[in-house]
Amino acid sequence: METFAVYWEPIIKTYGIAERTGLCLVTLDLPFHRISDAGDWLIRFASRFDGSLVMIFSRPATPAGLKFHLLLDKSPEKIEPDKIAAAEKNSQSDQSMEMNPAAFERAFPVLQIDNPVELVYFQGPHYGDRYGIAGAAMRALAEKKVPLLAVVCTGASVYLITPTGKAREARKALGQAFSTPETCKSESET
Amino acid sequence: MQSTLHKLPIGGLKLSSELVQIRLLPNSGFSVNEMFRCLADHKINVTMVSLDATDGELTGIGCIFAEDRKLAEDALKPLATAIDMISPVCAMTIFPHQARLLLIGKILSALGKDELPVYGMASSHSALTITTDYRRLDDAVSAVCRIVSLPENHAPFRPEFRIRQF
Repeated sequence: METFAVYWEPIIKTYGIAERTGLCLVTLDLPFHRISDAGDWLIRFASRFDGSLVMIFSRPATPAGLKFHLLLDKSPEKIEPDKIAAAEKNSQSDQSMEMNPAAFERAFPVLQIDNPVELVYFQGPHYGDRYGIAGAAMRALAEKKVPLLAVVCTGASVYLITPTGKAREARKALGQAFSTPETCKSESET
Repeated sequence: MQSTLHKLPIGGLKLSSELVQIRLLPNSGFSVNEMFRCLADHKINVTMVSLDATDGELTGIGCIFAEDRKLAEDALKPLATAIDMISPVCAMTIFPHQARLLLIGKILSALGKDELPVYGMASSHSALTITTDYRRLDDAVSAVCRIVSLPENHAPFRPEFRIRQF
């Protein structure tokens, strides 16, 4: 069950590099035995949060749990009080885990909110089947000393989360290390 | 059991072949750049990556195919004290998630209630990938299928071919 392919390009191609600013990164430490609680909390959170999820990702954290991240398009703190009141009125669930950061902290041991943060992302041909893509992206940013808060790759997509004000630098660094439709166009015009 | 009426529709569910999840330990003295360079030098594809800098510097996980394990162990010898490996692991990808926190919450809740491990997660704009125990894959699929409805003409869960770059 395998197809062998020869694929080589002098500069790694992307379909374009995009960025988003003004995002909020929420981090929780989640013990393995509380995965179900986290799911239930997300269900309640979904009913009250009037923003959108951008990404969700996690990795194991010592001693026995997950470092769990939500990248949102707005901070949970910014939810209008009347909307919370309306949602709570409609909610059948218990009110022990509300939406505000203090309530998060009561529910789970450690909480960190990085707000605002920025996101730079790109896709490219067969990235999911190719080695060296994530490393090349991180190397490009390290060379330009662009700090990273997180890196997520799945399928043909690469996502890089930076502190506020750094997405543009990251995009520029990636644009120099990778080929984009814009750089291909300018090369063909010269 | 939840009726089809109350299930959340998704476009598909895809399962990986057997994987090994490599974790770079926090404050190990090695950087993720070194880890990825070692793997790339040996042409090892990392199929899913989830890293964060919550502990000060970037640390986290990457998954490789099980057949690359020996090669990866050799490649990562200089970092042997800085990494650990979980295996056998499988990546279960649900698409599209359409940024539905409700869907993701229900999936996590179902996995947790069935005491299925979640070793890592990574989402793109369209898909959510969760790594779990390869030996309990059928249980994980059953848990997810309790809450999602799949299209009638759903493609096979497991890939029928794979591309490898030389």
